[in-house]
Amino acid sequence: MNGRSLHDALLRVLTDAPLRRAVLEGSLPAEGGVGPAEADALRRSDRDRLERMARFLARHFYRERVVRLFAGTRALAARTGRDPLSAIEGPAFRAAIAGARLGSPESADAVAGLVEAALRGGEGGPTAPFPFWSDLLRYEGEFFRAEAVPRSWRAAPEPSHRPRRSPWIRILDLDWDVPAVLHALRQHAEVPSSARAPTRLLFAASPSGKVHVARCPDPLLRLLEALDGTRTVEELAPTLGAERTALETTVARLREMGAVL
Amino acid sequence: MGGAKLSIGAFYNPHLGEATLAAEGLLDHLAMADPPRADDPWFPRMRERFALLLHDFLGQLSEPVEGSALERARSLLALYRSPWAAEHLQRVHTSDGARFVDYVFPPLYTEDLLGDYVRNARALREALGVPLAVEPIPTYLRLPVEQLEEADFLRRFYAESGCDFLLDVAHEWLSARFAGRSPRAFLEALPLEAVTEIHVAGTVPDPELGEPWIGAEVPGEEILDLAELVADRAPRLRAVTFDAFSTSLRAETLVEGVRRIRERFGSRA
Repeated sequence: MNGRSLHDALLRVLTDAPLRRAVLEGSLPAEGGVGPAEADALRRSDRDRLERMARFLARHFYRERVVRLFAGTRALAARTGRDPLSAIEGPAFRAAIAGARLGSPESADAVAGLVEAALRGGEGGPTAPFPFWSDLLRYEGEFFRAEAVPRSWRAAPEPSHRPRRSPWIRILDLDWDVPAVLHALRQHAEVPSSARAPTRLLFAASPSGKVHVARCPDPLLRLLEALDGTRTVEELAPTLGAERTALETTVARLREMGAVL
Repeated sequence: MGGAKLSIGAFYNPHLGEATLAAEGLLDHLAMADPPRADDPWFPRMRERFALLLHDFLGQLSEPVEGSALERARSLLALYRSPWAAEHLQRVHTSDGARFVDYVFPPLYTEDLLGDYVRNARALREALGVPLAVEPIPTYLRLPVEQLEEADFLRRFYAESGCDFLLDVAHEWLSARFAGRSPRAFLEALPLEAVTEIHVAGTVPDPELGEPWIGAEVPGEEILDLAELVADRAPRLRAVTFDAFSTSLRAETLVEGVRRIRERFGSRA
């Protein structure tokens, strides 16, 4: 054991509540990445401070994401009386972070659900403050969940010649053009009636954690469905009725977004 | 930001762009924690009116900062025309990158990590071609293994890496408190001769730690007293920054925080 291996183990238990409980209770899950010497040092640490630090980090982790990824509804909080941050004040959030694995899809889904419930106003609560409100919630909830993908801190590996759609992409069909709604809100302008338009969006997160949103018309959806990792772009082009160079450009852009591996 | 005069500033909070411009007479510089958004209407004027200091996440210095991360750091340095770059002495992700906290978190003060931080910080400083100021993080949780004292780790880190010391007074105040030590004695043991920038912050009770933590508040008198103590012993000090970067920061707090710092340090500015 050295400082690096112990610090790695510390970060693992601080960010993973089930692993933390297992290690502190004396077991060593094979997939946990914590060695016996590191586990011993962690068990001899101040457990109260360890638990407090884990909750502290979890609260910051999700608070920062609620601020950043529910920015549209947050900007409207003064007009709606519904602030996404109110969700992280209650006992339900405390319970969620007590069992969280930071950055995991499951924990992101649990926290997003709490925020969405707060923004909906609860059962029998007030009606939606804007006609686009429901779609705005769906958009931001999807944005929040899309961010919870495995993170890479190193340079991207060479892309495969047989592109494959990321298992983490999300497709959302909406009645409102929410990007247009958000643009109007940022300009402090009225939302134009033209924003009420069926819109399909693709959400993908790059390995650095940046979430990208793109419009997803039918041809793009067909392309994503075809990118199963078994065929090259050259092989795919004729089956999709697309020109190879244009297809390569699209696939390269999808790779930058994190939608294709 | 030339010459020996002390520069006084704050973090750039885009939601307070208008108030920041209105406080021009109080501010010499702005520390940049995030790149400006493409649609930020205030940034071009910030760049014209203030010295900008690069204080973004460049990379975890226990690992090499290279490739796209190094290119990003160079690009931000050029955008800001920053006289130095700053990074935290932190460790926020595991060696394999699989687990991360996305918040400041200190390393263990061990010999092997000291070697890694020295090597990677020196390499980053040389690659950027400007001074690199490195800011330690409060230690709340100390593990029961052989470690250097924080002061000894820092003394060796700054001496061996050639980096400058960005001393956040509230961070060290918290570390002293968590270790049950006198903040003044704790600060006096640090290598203050390497300090080139001071951060001054307010603190608020944290519901999870059951202790104070950094908050978007005006710095208290004790923190300001300690900041003056550091400044008196830091012959290379060039900048004092009100460390408040948060969407919850209010314009009145920004102005009052900088005003209090200027009251204490104005004669040196």
